[in-house]
Amino acid sequence: MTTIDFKHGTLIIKGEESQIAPASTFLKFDNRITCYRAKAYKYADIVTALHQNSNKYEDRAKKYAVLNLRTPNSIIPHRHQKSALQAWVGNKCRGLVVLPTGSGKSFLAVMAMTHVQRSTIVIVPTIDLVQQWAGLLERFFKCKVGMLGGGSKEVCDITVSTYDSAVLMMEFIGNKFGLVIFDECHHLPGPTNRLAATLCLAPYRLGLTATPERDDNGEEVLYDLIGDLCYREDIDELEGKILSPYITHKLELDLDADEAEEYEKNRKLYIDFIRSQGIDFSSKYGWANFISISYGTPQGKEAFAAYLAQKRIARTCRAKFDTIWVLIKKHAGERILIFTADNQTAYEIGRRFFLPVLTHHTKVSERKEFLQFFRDGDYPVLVTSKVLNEGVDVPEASVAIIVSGSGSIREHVQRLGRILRRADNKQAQLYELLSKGTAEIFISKRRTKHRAYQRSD
Amino acid sequence: MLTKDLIRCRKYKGKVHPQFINVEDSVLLQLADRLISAYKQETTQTRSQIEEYTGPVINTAGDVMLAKGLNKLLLDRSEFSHEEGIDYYTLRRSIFLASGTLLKQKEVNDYKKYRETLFSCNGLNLDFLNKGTYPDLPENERLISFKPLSAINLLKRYNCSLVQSLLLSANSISLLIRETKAAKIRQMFKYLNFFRLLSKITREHDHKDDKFEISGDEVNTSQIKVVIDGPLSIFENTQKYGLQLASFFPTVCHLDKWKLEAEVKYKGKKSQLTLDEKSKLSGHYNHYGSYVPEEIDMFQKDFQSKIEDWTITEETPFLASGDQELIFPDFSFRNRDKMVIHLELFHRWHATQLLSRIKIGEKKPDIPLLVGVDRNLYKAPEIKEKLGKSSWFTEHGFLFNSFPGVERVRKNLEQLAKSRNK
Repeated sequence: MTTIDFKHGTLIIKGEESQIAPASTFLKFDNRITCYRAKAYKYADIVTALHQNSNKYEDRAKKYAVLNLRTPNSIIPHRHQKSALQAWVGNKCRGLVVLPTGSGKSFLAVMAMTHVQRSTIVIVPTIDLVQQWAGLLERFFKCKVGMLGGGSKEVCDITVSTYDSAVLMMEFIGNKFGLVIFDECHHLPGPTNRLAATLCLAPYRLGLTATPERDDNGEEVLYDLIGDLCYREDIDELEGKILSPYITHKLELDLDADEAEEYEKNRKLYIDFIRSQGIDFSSKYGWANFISISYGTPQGKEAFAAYLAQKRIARTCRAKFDTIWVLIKKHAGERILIFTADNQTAYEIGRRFFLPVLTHHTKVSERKEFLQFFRDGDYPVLVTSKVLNEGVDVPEASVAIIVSGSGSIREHVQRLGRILRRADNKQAQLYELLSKGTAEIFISKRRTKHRAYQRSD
Repeated sequence: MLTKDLIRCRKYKGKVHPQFINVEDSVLLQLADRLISAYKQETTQTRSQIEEYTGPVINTAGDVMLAKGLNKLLLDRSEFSHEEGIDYYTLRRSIFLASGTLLKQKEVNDYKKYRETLFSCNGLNLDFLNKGTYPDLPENERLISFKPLSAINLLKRYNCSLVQSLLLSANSISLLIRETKAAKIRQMFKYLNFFRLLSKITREHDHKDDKFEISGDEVNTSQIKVVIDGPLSIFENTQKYGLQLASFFPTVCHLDKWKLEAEVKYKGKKSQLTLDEKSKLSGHYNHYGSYVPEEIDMFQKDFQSKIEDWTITEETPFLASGDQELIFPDFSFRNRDKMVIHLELFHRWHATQLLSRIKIGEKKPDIPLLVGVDRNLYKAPEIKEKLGKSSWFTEHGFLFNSFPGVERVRKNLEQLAKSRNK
C-alpha cells in the first residue's frame, strides 16, 4: 500500500509506481533515499489526487487534531468579514484576504478557525504580535495557546509563531496543523520566510494583509503557497463605516541656518562622490556598491560619513523636536504614537520628553506594560521606530506623528492604519514632519503614492 | 561566524578565494592577544568600555576588516547583561506615569516648565532622570561571561569562519574524500546526520569523466564523492541548509585528504569556492569518536606480513544499506579469487552502532561484512541478548579481547568466504 510520511518538512511517498502515478506531478524521485519525495505544502494536492483515483494509501504524515472551537454568540461579524469568510470557504479554505488595518482581520481568522475545526498555527512578523494573537485566541476559545518566538517554545493545538521561529521549527512541526494562517502575509515571499509555508502540510491556508503588493512580484509566490486572492477591500472603502475618518498633514519645517549649511556641505560631498564613482542607486546592487567603494579609500570613508551626517540632520533637526512638543500639547488628552526611522532618534525623543520608547531592545515584559499603560491612558504618548508599524493593536491611538521614515508605501500605509481603529467621535490625524530643502521631501512623495493618501483632506 | 561585510576574499574569474591568515604570524598573534585581553579584564566591563579598548586596537590594525572579524568572533563568545540589582522598569514606570500626567494637562504648555515640574515630582530618582531613563540599552550592558581561547585558536577559528560564512549562502557542497581511516569518515557522517543533512555518495571511479579530482599524483580509486544538501534541495536551489552546511564544515577539516566545492554568493554574485586540505584549516569540534587506536596500524602490518591468502585493500570503501545508512568498515580484505570481505570492529563505546549494524545485517544479509565485537562490549546484557538471538551475527560475527589477532580474523574471513561461495 502507498504510504505518506512527513520528514524534515517534506513528504516521503512509498508504494507501487502504478498506485502513486496519479500524484506524480507533485513528486520527485530522490536518489539519496531511493523513493519519492514531495514538498509538504503539496500534501492536499497529493491526497486529493490519490483519493480521486480511489487509490488506497496510509497517511502517516498528518498529525493534526480535530478541535471543537466555539466563539461567543455575542460577537456578530461585520458584512465585510462575513463576505470574506464566504469567499475563502468557497475557495476550498485557501487563499488571501486583503483588508485594511483595524477592519477586524483577527476576528476573521477566528471565524476561519471555527469553520475548519483543525489544529491551527498563526504565523506573525513580531514577538509583540505573537503575544497579542495568543491573548486574543485564549480569550475567544478559552484554551491554552502555544507560542514560538521570544524565548517561548511551546506547541499546542493552537499555536502562534513568529515567521523566524516558524522557519526554524516547521521541519519538525509542519505536520501538526490542519490550518495555517499567515498574518501580514506580505512577509512570506522572501526566500527564507517562504519556507514557513513550504515545509508545512496544512491543507487549509489563510493569508491576511492590508498591502499584498510587492516590488518583486512576490504576490505570485503568495498565490502559490497560500491560494488565490479571494477577497479585497481598501482603507477608503471602509473609512467612516468600519474605520475612523482621518486627516493627513504634511508639515515642511525649516532647518536652522547652521543646520542648513552643515546639511548642504555634507550632501554635496556625498553626491559628488557618488557621481564621481558612477554609483547608480536604481540598480539592485547600488547600495552594496557604495558601501564597498566607500570602505576602501579615505575619500570614500569621508563620503560615507557625510552621507550619515546629512541624513541625521534631516531626520533630527531642531524644528522637528519643537514641532513634536507643539503637537503633543495640541493633542493633550489624546493617545499619540510617534514614529521614527531609527532607534537612535526614537531614544533621543524619549530622553528629551521623558517618554516610553518601544524598540526591539525593549524586553517583552516591559513591551507589554508600555502597550497596556498606553491603552489605559496612563502613558498618553508612545515613541517607536518600526516595531509598531504593523499588527500591534492600539485602538485608542488617534494621532500619529511621523518624525522620519523610509520611502516604503507599505510602511506609511501601515503607520496610518495604527490610528484608524474605530471609536466613537474619533477623528484620526497623521502628521508627517519633513525637513524643507532636504531629500525627505522626495522620500515623502514616494511613500504617499497610495490611494489612502491620494485624496484631499 | 562573520557577517557579510567582514568576509575577506578575493574574486578571480568567477572563483572566490578566502584570504586565510597565517596562524603563526607573530603580528597577528599579538593583535589576537590584545583583542582577547579586552574581554578578559578582571573587573566587569560594559559593552562600551570594551569598545573603548577594542576600537583603537581595531582601527590601528594593519587590516581593519580582519581585526573587526576577530573581534566579532570574540563577541560571539561573550554574554552581556545589564547591571543587576537595579529595577529599571520600576524606575522608568514612575517617571513615565509622572510625565504622562503632566502631558495630559493642557496648562503645562512650556517645555522648560514641563521639565522643571517633572524634576520636582516626589519620589522620582533624579540621578536616573539625568541619565536619560535608558541606561540599560545594549551599549551599557555588562559582560557577564566569556569563553576564553588562545590567540592561535582565535586565528584558526577566523580561517574556518571565513569558509563557514561563505557557506551560509551555499545550496550544497560537493566533497571529494580520500581517507583511509574509517573512524574519521564515520565521525563525519555522524555530524551529517546531526545537522539533518543528506548526502549522495559515489565512488570517484564511477565518474571517470568527472573533472573533480584530487590533483597531482595522488589520484587513485580510493576516493569517494559526497554531495551534501538537504531534503528540500531536490526541488529547488535553496539556501535553507546554508547554516547547517556551515556548521558541518569544521568536521571536514579533520579529514586527511579532502577537496570541497560549493557555489556561494559573494558581494551579491555567485562564485565558486574550492578548497582542499592544503588550506591547512583546523576544525574546532571535538572528535573523540574518530579516535584511531594504535593497534589498527599494528594489525595492518602484522596481517600483511603473516597472511598470504588475503590482502588488505587500500580503498576507502563504503557499504550503502539504503535510507542514508552507511557502513565504513575498518578494513577491507581481498583474497586470491578477488572476493572482497569487509571488517568492522566494535569496541566498548560502540553499543548503539553495533545494534544498528545487527539490524542492517539482518535486513541485508548479502552485505559482505564481518563484525568483530570487543568482549567488554559483549558483557552488556542488552548486547549479549541481541547477539545471542541473531543468526546473522552467528555467521558474520566474532568476539575479541581488546583487539583481534590476525589469525582470528583470517579464520573468520575464510569461513565467511566459504559460506558465500556456497
